[in-house]
Amino acid sequence: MNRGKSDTVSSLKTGCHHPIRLIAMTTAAPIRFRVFSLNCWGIRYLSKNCKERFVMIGDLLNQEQLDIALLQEVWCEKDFLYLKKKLSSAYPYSHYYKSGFIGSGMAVFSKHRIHDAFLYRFSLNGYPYMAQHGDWFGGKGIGKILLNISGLNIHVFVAHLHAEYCREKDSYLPHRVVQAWELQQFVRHTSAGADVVILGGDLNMHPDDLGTRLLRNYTGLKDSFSEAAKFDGCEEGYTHISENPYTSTDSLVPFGGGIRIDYILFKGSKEVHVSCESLSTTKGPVSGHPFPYSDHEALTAEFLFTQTKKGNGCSERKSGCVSDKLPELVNTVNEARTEVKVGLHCAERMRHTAARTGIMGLVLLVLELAIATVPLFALGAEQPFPKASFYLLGALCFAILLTTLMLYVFYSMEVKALQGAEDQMRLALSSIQEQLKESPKVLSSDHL
Amino acid sequence: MATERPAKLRVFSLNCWGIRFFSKLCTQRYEMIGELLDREQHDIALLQEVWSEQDFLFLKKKLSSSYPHTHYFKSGVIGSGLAAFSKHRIQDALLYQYSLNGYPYMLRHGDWFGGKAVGLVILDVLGLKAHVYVTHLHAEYSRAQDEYLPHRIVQSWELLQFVRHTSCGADLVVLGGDLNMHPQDLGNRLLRSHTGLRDCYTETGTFDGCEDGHTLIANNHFTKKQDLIPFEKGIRIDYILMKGSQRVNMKCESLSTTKGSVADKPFPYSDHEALTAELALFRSEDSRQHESGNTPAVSEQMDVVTEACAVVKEGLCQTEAMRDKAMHLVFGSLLLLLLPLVLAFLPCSCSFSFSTVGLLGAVCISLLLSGALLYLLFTTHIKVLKETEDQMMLTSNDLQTKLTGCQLSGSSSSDGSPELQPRSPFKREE
Repeated sequence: MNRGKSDTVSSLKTGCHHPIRLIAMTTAAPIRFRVFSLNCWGIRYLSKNCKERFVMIGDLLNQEQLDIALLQEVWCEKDFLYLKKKLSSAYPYSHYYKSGFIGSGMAVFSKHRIHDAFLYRFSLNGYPYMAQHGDWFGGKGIGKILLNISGLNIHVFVAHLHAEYCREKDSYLPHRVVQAWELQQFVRHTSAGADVVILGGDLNMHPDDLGTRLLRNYTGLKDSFSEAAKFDGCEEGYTHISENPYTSTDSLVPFGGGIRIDYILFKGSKEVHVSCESLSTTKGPVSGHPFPYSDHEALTAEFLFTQTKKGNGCSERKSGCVSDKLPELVNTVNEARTEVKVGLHCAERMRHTAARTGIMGLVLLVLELAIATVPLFALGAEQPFPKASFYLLGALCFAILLTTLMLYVFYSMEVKALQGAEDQMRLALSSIQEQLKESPKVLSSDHL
Repeated sequence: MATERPAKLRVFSLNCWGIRFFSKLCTQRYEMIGELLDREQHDIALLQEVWSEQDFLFLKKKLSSSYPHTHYFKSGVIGSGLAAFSKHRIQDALLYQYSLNGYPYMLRHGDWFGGKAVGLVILDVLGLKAHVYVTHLHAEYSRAQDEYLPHRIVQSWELLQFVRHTSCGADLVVLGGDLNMHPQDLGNRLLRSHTGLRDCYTETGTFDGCEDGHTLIANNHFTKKQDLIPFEKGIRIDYILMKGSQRVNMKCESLSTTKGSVADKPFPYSDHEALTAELALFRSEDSRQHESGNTPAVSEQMDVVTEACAVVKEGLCQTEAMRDKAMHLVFGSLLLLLLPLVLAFLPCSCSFSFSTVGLLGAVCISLLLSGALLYLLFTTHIKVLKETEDQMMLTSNDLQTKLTGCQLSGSSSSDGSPELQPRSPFKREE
């Protein structure tokens, strides 16, 4: 790509459909960029020491002098406003993503001006009747902000996926796979003009889980834990550990005492090379404090952005970063499609059950009304009409009818979302397969 | 680069009114639409209100030779109703469902169940990357007292954000659909000024169709004249918008609409008129040829976003008031519930029959549940409105900085933000 004089540069506001042309006057010094991510566990009245921990988090962020801090589970706006006030000098720019009933819980604090913010709500996020899990009320999604530092377009994403409550029988797996799919779609399709892409958050997935592989393979994002030159933190980069007094040790025992479910992922571009200089995590207890920042560990990554003379990053036009990763991508997308199909069958079955139950309730109600009219026509009826049973049964039927109607509506939406995701996956597969057919030609022309 | 003949792209858009068992002559009209598309051989056909998947599959089968690539966007309970038929290969598809889309209890309006959204298909058109969007916004049922205006403004905002954020790598952008807004309505101005999309109707040299480009006309067999009042002849609410890029210049060579009736047929294709645009694509090596002259002024963008923000704030107030009412309903019914409970356990309750007490109790519980559900719904809406407001404010501040930055051209910025100060050897020229 020729970097010459350019007298037209797009305004960020009319769309970044022109790549920004840069004028290199001298070799630019690399830019250091420090990213923080933490699931704050800020469920007021439910999570322990909530207020005190937000004070600690505020102190930590003030002291660390980061470029951006990506927080999840800041469910209460008051806690966000508290942090905003406390961090107003070190992080003058912030955005709090609002969605769902109590969510999204995601907040971004930035040292650099935030030029734009956008939110993508996941189409699937649990069930409203699973009140003890509560994810549905959280309105989870993907938050995006645009930063511009020294002429570089930096796209930062924060995400929080559906929790995993039981790995052996994960009833939310299809939802999480669809969320991972939507996450990679959103990142891929909105970061075409980016020089640097950063994604931080609680993915609620292990590094080799289907959703994580789908995300990394399709977007080309790299895991800071695997790429970091220096690492200092929990063993294996765990972000949810048994040493943390807030976590349930039993659930973590099968995983060797911890799981890695929080990530900071990154990617450069043709013009900008991004390397992860270091990654660190908190290790449970915090010195000088009786308890840790949260039930999750915090991640801090330091990146180096270096301008490259020739594009040696991924071409934005290809869906996968490198052509030799395409066969693996096909397998991953197929695997994801299978999971979605499983979820679809389940949802269709649930919808069918709701419909059947509703119809039964309706039939029962009609039958009952019919029986109730019998005494009106029966002559010389001696038995007193059982009013109590009649009304109770009637109320029950009505309640069943209403509940099943709402469930039918909900399951229909779930079915649509799953079908939609499956259609997109099928389309993506055929696209990738087309690319695979063309790839021998690509490799031979070698323009990368 | 030597002048070459421009490539042509023919785009079609129609709101099909495909509400099975409800809209008239649905099956027959789909036959007609299928025949029209087959005959016309467009590059892309963007359809809205294809609510039934069976109708989509019928069209898909019928058009399998002329439009081998299709995508049907699914969302909501019965929606989204959006479908794309393409001659060119669809590389990828993405859906963004609008966060606000009416109310579930407004059954006779039904928009909520439609899961309205904006769909994106990425096409490979003659080696160029085309981002084609199809959308359908919330209907306007009463212009004088438009209770859905905040919803439609939020949808316009989300639409423009989605287009802006996903069209970076595009060589050309086309948006077709039923925006349910008149050309100078706030949402339309917001969309156009912030995306740079151009209206084919205003850009075209050749137009053949209804007067003033109307797409919902009184002359149509299916439209109700009273719905169009005070607009006697018709309204223009369906659009094909377009935008090029540094690599491609776009011009609308011609635009045509259907005119209510169809030759040899007793009824039209739909209650809406169909749009057909013929777009010319010119490869542009010289970035100066790019339509930078059409970039709306920053001050215009600021004005329109401020106006939109005001509408959202008003919607927020109204929704908060409704949420308060729902809260009152919950507490009121809780209090009222005490009455049958007390009556049930009082010794002198023999004067009140069980049925009365039971009925009262049932009514209270129903009111309690309704109140709780409405509270849940309105809280979700408030969150969306607040988020939209925050995003608009962010954009407004950003535009303000740009405006101030332009005015202080040359001098160092006073706000201290690193990207405006010429510290870096990499300068961004504006």
